[in-house]
Formats: sequence, C-alpha cells, structure tokens
Amino acid sequence: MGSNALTIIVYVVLGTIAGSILCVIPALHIYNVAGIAVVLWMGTKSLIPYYSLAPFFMSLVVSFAFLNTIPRTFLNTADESAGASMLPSTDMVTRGRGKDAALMTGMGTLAGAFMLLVLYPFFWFIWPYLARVTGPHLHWLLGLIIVHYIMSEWPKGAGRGDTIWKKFKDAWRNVFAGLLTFTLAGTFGIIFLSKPILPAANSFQNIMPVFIGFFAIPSIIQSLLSNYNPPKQYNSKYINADWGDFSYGLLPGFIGGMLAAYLPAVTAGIGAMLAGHTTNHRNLERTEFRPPKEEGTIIDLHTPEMYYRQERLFMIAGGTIKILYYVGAFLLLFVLTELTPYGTGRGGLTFILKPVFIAEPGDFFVMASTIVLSASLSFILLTYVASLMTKILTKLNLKFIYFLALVMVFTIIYIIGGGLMGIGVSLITACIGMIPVFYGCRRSHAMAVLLVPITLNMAGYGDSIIHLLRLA
Amino acid sequence: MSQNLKDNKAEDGGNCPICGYFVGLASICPRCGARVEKRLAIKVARKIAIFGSILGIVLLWYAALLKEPEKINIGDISATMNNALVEIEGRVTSININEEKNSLKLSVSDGTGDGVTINAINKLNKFKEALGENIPSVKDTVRVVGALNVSQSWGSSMFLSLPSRFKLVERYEIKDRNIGDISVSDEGDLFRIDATIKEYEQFTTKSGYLLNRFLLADDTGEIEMVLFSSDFESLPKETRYALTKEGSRFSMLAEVSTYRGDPQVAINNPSDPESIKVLSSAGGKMPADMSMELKKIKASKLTSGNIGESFKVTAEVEESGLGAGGVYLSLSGTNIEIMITYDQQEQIRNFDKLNDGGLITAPMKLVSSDYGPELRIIDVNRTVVK
Amino acid sequence: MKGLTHFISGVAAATFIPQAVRMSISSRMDIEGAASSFILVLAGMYGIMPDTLDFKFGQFFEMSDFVVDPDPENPDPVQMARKFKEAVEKADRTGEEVRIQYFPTQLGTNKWRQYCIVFEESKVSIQLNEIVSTSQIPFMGTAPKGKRVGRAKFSQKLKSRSEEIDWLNKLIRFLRQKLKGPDRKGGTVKPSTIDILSSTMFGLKKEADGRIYFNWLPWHRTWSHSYVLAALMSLPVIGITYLLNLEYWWLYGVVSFVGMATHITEDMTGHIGGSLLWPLLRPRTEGFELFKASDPRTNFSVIYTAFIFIIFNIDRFTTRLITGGPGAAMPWWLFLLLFWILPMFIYFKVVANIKKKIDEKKKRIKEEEEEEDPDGMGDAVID
Repeated sequence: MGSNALTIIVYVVLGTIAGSILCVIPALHIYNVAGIAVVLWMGTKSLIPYYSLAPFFMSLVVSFAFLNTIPRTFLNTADESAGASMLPSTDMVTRGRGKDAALMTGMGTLAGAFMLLVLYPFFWFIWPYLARVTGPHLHWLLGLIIVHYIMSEWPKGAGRGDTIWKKFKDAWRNVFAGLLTFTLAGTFGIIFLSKPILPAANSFQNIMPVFIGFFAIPSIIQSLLSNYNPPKQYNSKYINADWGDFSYGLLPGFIGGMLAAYLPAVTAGIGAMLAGHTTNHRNLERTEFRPPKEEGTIIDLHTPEMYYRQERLFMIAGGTIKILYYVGAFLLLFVLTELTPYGTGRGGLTFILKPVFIAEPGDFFVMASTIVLSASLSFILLTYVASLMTKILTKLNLKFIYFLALVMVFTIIYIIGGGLMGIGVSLITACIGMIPVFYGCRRSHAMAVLLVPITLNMAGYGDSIIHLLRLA
Repeated sequence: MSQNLKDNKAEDGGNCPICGYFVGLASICPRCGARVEKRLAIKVARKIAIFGSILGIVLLWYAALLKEPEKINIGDISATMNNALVEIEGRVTSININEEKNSLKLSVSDGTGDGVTINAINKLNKFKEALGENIPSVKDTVRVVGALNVSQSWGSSMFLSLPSRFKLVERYEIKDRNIGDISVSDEGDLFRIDATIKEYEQFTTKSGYLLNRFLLADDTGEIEMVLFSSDFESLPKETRYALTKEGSRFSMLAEVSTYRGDPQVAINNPSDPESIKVLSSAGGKMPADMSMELKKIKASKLTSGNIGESFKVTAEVEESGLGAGGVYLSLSGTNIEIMITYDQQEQIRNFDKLNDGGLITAPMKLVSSDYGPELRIIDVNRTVVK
Repeated sequence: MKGLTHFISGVAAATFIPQAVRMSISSRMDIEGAASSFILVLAGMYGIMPDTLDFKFGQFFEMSDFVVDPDPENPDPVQMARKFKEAVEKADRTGEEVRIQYFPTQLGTNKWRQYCIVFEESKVSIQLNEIVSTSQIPFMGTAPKGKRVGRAKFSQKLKSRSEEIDWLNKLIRFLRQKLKGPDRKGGTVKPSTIDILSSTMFGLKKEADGRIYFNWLPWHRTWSHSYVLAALMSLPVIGITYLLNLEYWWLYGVVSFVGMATHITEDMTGHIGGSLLWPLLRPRTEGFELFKASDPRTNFSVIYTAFIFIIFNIDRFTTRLITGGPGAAMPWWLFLLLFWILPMFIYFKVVANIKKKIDEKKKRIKEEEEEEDPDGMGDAVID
C-alpha cells in the first residue's frame, strides 16, 4: 500500500507537470492530450500501473484547469468554456493587468479544488438523490437549457432606424446570428452523431475535430486577423481581490460548476451564464446619483464597489466553474452509492477512460487527494508562468504563435482525429464557429452540436430524425 | 475630444470614418448608415463563415448518406473504437426478450472475440413489427450496424434503435441427432434430441451456485446435461416435475458444449416453450399442489440448519450492495443475505424498489457460500417485490 | 424580475400539475403515463415570453417623435437637452403622447460614452460622463474636457405618477397603499443613465391637471403583460397539439398559460405593473412596488424556491425517492424545512449582513461629504 501510494504521488506529479507544459500551448485542449495518452498507455500498459491511471489523468485535467488560464488570458484564445472568464481577462490584459487576471482566475480554480473536498457530504448524501430524481427527466431539463439559452440572447443593437424593419434589423443582428449558429450546429450534430463519418479506429476522439473547429480554429483565425497587441504587463506581488470576493464567488461558482458537471453538453460557459443570472450580486449595490464633485458638472454618478467586484467575481467564479466542470464531472464517477452504483461521472475524461477503467469503492478519497496535490502544484506553477508571461508577452511574436497553434491542431486532427476526413469536419465546424466571432453572438451556441441531438435522443425522437435525413 | 478616446479608437480600429461611431465588424455604420471600408480578410472570412457552414452541412449530410459503416471483427474491437459506427456479423449466442420492458437483448459472436451485446431498449415492438418472422433466434447469423460502446465494466455493446440496421443473414437449421452421435466436434451446435432421464441430482458449487445435473440417454448412448437453477426454474412447472423423475422422456433443443474433454448439453433458451417438450412423465400426472410445494417462511426464521432446503421466503430488505456475481441484499432480523444475479435482477419487476428497502417474496434455496449461508432465488418468475 | 427568474418560476408552477410531470418522465421508466414529453419546456418558454415580446419585438414596433443619437466625437449636451424640451412642448401643445428616444454611443468594442439625464419639475439637464466599459465601469480621465452639461428649461411641469387611471389601476393603488402605506411624495422624475447597448424611450403626455405625465419605457409591460393575451397565446399551442394527435392536448395550452400568467403576476410585485386585461382594458396598471425587478435577493430566492419545488414535485409525482414513496428518504415537511426554509433563512441572514455593511459604508461617506442631495437624487428606478 505504501509503495502504491508513493507511485500514485509520482504519477500525480508527472501528470501535473505534463498537463502544465502542454496546456500553455494555445488552443490545445487537455482531452486531445488525454486521448493521445490513452493510446500510448494501451500500447505499453507498463508505462502507468493500472492503479495510477485515474490519478494520472485526473492530474492532467487539474493542471489544465489551472494552466489553460495562461493562453486564455494572455494569448487571447478560447475554448468552448471561454464564456466563463474570457472578456474581462482580455480587457485586463489590455490594461497591463494580465497577471492579476490570471491569478484571480487561478485562485478561483484553487478555491474550486477545495470546494470539491468540502462538498463531500453533499456528493454522498444529497447528490445521489438529485441525480436519480432528475435522471429520467433530463431530456426536458436539457430542453429548458436550450430554450432559455436561445430566448435569453437579447438584441445587442440599439434599434436605430426610421422604419420598423430597419430598427429590427439593427437590433437583431446578434440574435439572428445566434439562431443561425444554433441551428447550424444543431443540424451538424444530428447528422454527425446519427452517422459518424470518421474512421472507426480512433472514433473515441471523433468529437475532437468538431470542437477544435467550433472553438479553437475561429479563435486562432480571430487572433490572426485582429490587431491584438498587448501592452507591457505589470508584475505585481499582489492581486486586486480580497477574501470577500472569494466568498461572493462561491455561490455562482458552485451553481455554474455543478450545472456544467452534471448536465450533458452544458459547458462551463453556459453554466457561468446561468449562475450569473441566478446570483446577480452586482445589483446589491446600484449606481447612485450624488452631489457633483467636479467643476462644470451637476451630478456625480457614483459607480459602487460592487461593479468593480463583479468584474473580479466573474474571473474568480469562472475559475471555480472551470474546475468543477472539468474535474468535478470526472470526480462524480467515483461517487458510488446505493442510488448511484456506477457513479454519475460525465465529461470528456469519463468518456475517454470508460473503456479502460472501472471506478471502485474507496477510489473517491484517492482522487480527492490527487486533486488537492495536483491543484496545489498547478497553482504554484501558474504563479511562475504568469510572472514569466508579464516579462515576455510583448516580446512574443503572437502571429507566429497563432500560426503554429493552427498547424498543431490540424496535425493532431490528422493523427488521431480521423485524418483528412477529420480535417474536413473541423473546417465545416470552423465555418459555423466563425459566425459568433464575426456577428457578435454567444459562442456557446455552437454547443447545440451536442445539446440538440442528446435531448432529442433522450426524448426518443432520434430514430425519426435519422429516417427523415435518410441516414438509417 | 480627449486624447484617451482617440487612442481608444486607434486601438479598436473599427469606427465609422464619417461619424466616429463604433461599427465593429459591420460594413454599414448603424448610426449614420455610411458604408465602412473593411479589410478584405474580414469580409472574406464572414462570407466563408456563412456559406461555408451551409455548404459544409450539405456535404456532411451527403458524405453520411454515402458512408458505409466499416465491417469489423469483434476481436478487433479496442478502447479507441468507442463510439464508432460499425458493422458486425456473427452468430446469436443468447437472446433475451423482455416483453414487459419492451426490450430485446442479443449476444453476438463471430468467433474472433468475447462477443458483443446488442441492446434494443424499449424497441422490441418496433423490431417485431419491422422484422416479422425474421426476429432472430439463438445460432442465427445476423448482421448489425450500430455505435460501439466499449466499457471496462460492461465489455463491448451496441445500442440498436433502428430495425433497418439489423439483418438476419441466415436462419440456423436445427437437425435431429441421436445422443450417441454427439461428439466434442459438435461444440456450439444445436440439435433436437429425444432423451430419457437416467439420473438426476441437485448440487451446490464451491462458489455457491445451485446446479441441476441430468444424465440423458437414448438407444444410442448417454450424455450429461447441466442446468443452472435460474434456467431450471424458468421452465414450466410440469416440465420441471418431469425432469426430476428418472424415466421421463423429452424432446428438447440441446446445445452442445464440452466439459473436461467430454461433450455435454444444455437446454437452449429454457424460457421458450418450444425448447423442451415432455413426451412422457415417469412421475405420472403432476400433483395439484405442485405450485404449493414450497413451505412459506420468513427469512428471519431461517437458520444454518436449513442449508440445502428450498422455501417460499419473505424477507424485508434493509440495504443492497453490489458484488462480482450480482446484487447482495441485507435483510432485517437475520445475517443471511440474498444474492441475486444480474440476469435475475433484470427479470425481476420493480427491482429498483429494493435499493431503498422493501419486501421481497420468492422461491429461494438456502445455500452455503464462502461468506456463510446465502439465499438464492430459484424462480424469478414467481418473485414479487413490494 | 429577471428573465431566468420568470423562466424557472413558470416551470415550477407547471410542475404542480401532476399529469404534466408524469408525461414528462422518460418513457423508459415504469411509470404510468410516462411519455418523454417536453410539455414543461412550454412553461419556461411562456414564462419568459412577455419580456421576449417586449424586448425582442415590441420596442422596435414603437416609433419615436424625437430621436437623440449623440455625435460620438462631439456630443452636444445642450442640443440633447433642447430636444427634450421640444418634446415636452409638443406634448403640451397637442395633448397627444409624445415619445423621445435617447440612444447609447458606442466608441469601441468595450467602450461607451455614458450620459445622465436629470429631470427637475420644469427643467432637464444632460451631463456627459466618462467612457465606460460594457460592465459599466468608467475609464478614469475620459470625461470630456470641455462642455459637459446642457440644460433646457420649459414652462410645463413634469410628474411621475399619472392621475388618469382606470378602475383596475385604482384598485391596485388602493391595495398597495393598504399594504405598504401611502405612496411616497416624490413629485419629480428620477434621473436616467444611458450608456451600454439599449436605448431609452420616454413618453410624455399632458393630463387634465395641465402637468406632463412622464412615462418611462412606454412600450414596456403593456399588451405583452396581459392575462388575456396569455390565454389567447395558449390557443395555438392547443391547436397544434390537437392536430398532432397528442394525448392530453389541452394540457399543453394550460401549461403555457400557467407559465405566462406566472410572469405577469410576478411582475406585479414591481413598480411598472402591466396591462393585465389588454385588449379589454388597455392602460398599464401600476405594480405593488414591493421589490425592484433587479434585486438579487428577490431573484435568487424565487429561483431557488422554484428549483426546490421543481425537485419536490417531479419526485413526488414520479420517482418518489425523496418524499412520498414507501422507502422515501424523508417526509415532505422535513424536505421543505431542510432544503427550502433553512437555506433561505441563512441566505437572507448573510445577504442582510452584506447589505448592512454596504449601507453603513454609504452612510459614512455621506456624513463625510455633509452635503444634501439635489432634488430627485437617489437610486435610479429600473424595473
């Protein structure tokens, strides 16, 4: 047992370091890395002992949850969960506060790692009931997410124009784009999942080119087309947040994280959006009209501290949601109770490891310890890498990095994502993924690729659609 | 205008040249309607985004339409093929039709691997309607297209929802055979035999399974037949009664297997009434109280002195747990547990209720296991859960 | 209330209909009536429908008599104030409702020019402020260096409450006063701030006492917030489900109505109210003014309550694992006590503590400044 524990620790450290190095590469998702790692492991099973397999992969994902903050913050790239912490952090980089943004997100992620431990009684005594009660109702619960997601995209245009149609057109630009993205992604998902066209040999990664196309490629293209030129970054010893910010961040972090960890196809971005709508702490304090302070004015519009706090909360809660989504979803596989004898694990890693791994009673504590160890190491690494980025960011040739990232994602697709056919699939989804970029709607609309077919299949309409598309 | 603002504009680079309003990537200013000159790349990218995605989806649909699922050997299935849409062809090794749950479950083997479980959950009626007489039986050769689900817990399986993705390739022809002609080379084959019961005994294996052993004979020779208690209990009452009487004659569908180098047989698909027919019963007519033969008892009244006896047991379940062989139910008032195999679990109606406690009544036999006395259900069809 | 609040409370209300819940459970379950139905999604969809009609459609159907769309490079507050004066004068002259719309000014991806409109009884002032981000946080030092304030006086007097109200509005006003005590004597209209995304429209109408009734967002919560419309909009649902030959086709209409009616009823707790019986009674009725629509405490407590009741109802009508079943975890009252009342109590205690700290801080700042608010100052009422 003692030597086993030591071996596990070694593999957790190795997993953390490997994940940390790889995740700094823009647009590289840990599930791509995990996919390659599983293939390698199957080839030489002696590489990782079976009992260290899950801790190793868990630490890969934990370090990803921390270290992918670096490319997202400093290199302006995003994956499917970018909605959780993308905008304010990019904004902070443009003000030279990239390290602040990265560390705030990282501390939120660290808080989330400890939250996963504190939630043990919840996972063991309440969660199984929630999972069992909602399980047979998932199709309409996902239907609710879809409908709310579509209906809550309000027009961003102000509605200018001298005719009703012109006003409508001006305001609805983003709504139209959102509907179009959702419809195209949903249609793509129905066809692709009804009859996958990629080769069978590596089909466990067949959704990978789809996601790279939806999220990574448009981000890289956007970055290549943009004039993103970050200014010199401050290398402060402190972060601009207090303990209050972290306590405020707990509730939205928990709500958004659990939604994303449990509901299929609901990502951290969608979870963050719903959590933000649910808690909406900003309005505890409102802007206030006060007597004038400056000469030549009649009023002072006071922006309360809560508005500034909200910006920080967005990053902190975003970090927490991220780890609950990536890591919590996998940890739920180990919640083996009478009501949930096979756990309720979801997410990419659960899917990748399912063919080679079985969760057994008692594993939960091994995995919880793995999370703590890996999270602590990852956070330390994050602080160093964030400091390093403040020094080198302005010296980096970002266009070249984006170009390399583009070459790399296509290489990965070619090797394990279905070869040329996989590249073709990713190009189609990249086209759909570029619509939100160029028309200003939510990028998570692309998640319709899974939301729509999963919901329809759960409700039992999958067969009719396959017939309709003549794909039977 | 402040210097700051001008800097901001320069940084964004997306403002209207006429009125200065921010237009982002739009080509017409929403405020003044002026046409805004854009870099060619953005214009092109926007067009590619819209037209490329629509054209791409059409192409994807066309590619899917033309796509023929890869035909694979079951032995070639690996973890990286999880989720693959593939075609397999093989013999049906077992079939489970659950009318109540409207489900069809097949095991298919092509001789290259462990076999694949094909699940058509809640689709039985749909398959019956579409396939008619082509509903498969054991030993039939079938071709199935489906998405693979590879799991360390459950092995390889496929979810089958469309009858059009299932084809009966060849119906297995069952031939008559004399017992003396059956040899080890017939392993895996199915024959119709006429046999007389020469010996019968019931015994418990080391791992606690209850088995029924028969010696069958005809004019040409003898052969052994072994039935698990669950298979035995799934037979009609009259058949079970006759099977236990030496001298009874049967016509049965027997599947050949080998045991320590000798051939033996088992009744194929015992729950199917066509699988075994009583030609003559040595015990005469079955007594009217046959169904009442088991004594009713509460589990809490059982002791180790009852090992080997069968009862109609009523037990109050306190907790349930999972083990290698099946589900273990802890009972109130006794240390004796009930072990239910996963196959039995699937057949017991309302089994889920036992996860939270509940009452179970069933014909059971108390057997000795490594963990002490254990109750085994001997007739799932007569099991009631409340 | 917020969109999600309406959405989820509509669903929660519909889960009190046992048949709707049973139809919704997966048909794989061994429960009578299980049909994998999406009926409860209709409750959510109709729960958010009134605001969808307003903010996605209604506001664009309304044309303004006066439009103020400031020049991004050289905004002129005097001109902007003068427009308002012209609108007031036209309202006075014609007796018709005159509408004036103020547009936001976007300067960059994340940059907007903020301006405030301060109303006094016979004067309007426009003040240009800093550039703000989309999070409404000002960029320091970006306020215009030159002319920042424009004023326009007029001879007419503005008022924030209408006196020309119908019987329903009188009834609501009477009930509100019984509930909350007499209405505040505010008199003047609250200031408005325009910065990000959407424009603001004001309706101005001369009433019998000669004063101009100032109506903020005159298109909001009118025809869309009507129980009659809710009933009418459930008819197509009934028709479609009937034609599709769905079992319990009529229930789909009932669930849709319940979702929309829940929204309309919830909005009555706010300030603006709704046109409850449109088209039978067209004017907008005031609300009970119990909560501000954006108050996070109200929204969160309603969302959480709705969530708990959704779980409670879907369990007791289908799975029966938590309450109601033979081996259920606990009695219903214990579930509600542990998972609804107790958490709500803790939440309100914690939030009350936070709010107290915020108010104390505000008070301290105010004392330090030792100056009186100008007339009409305070929180902007956004409902």
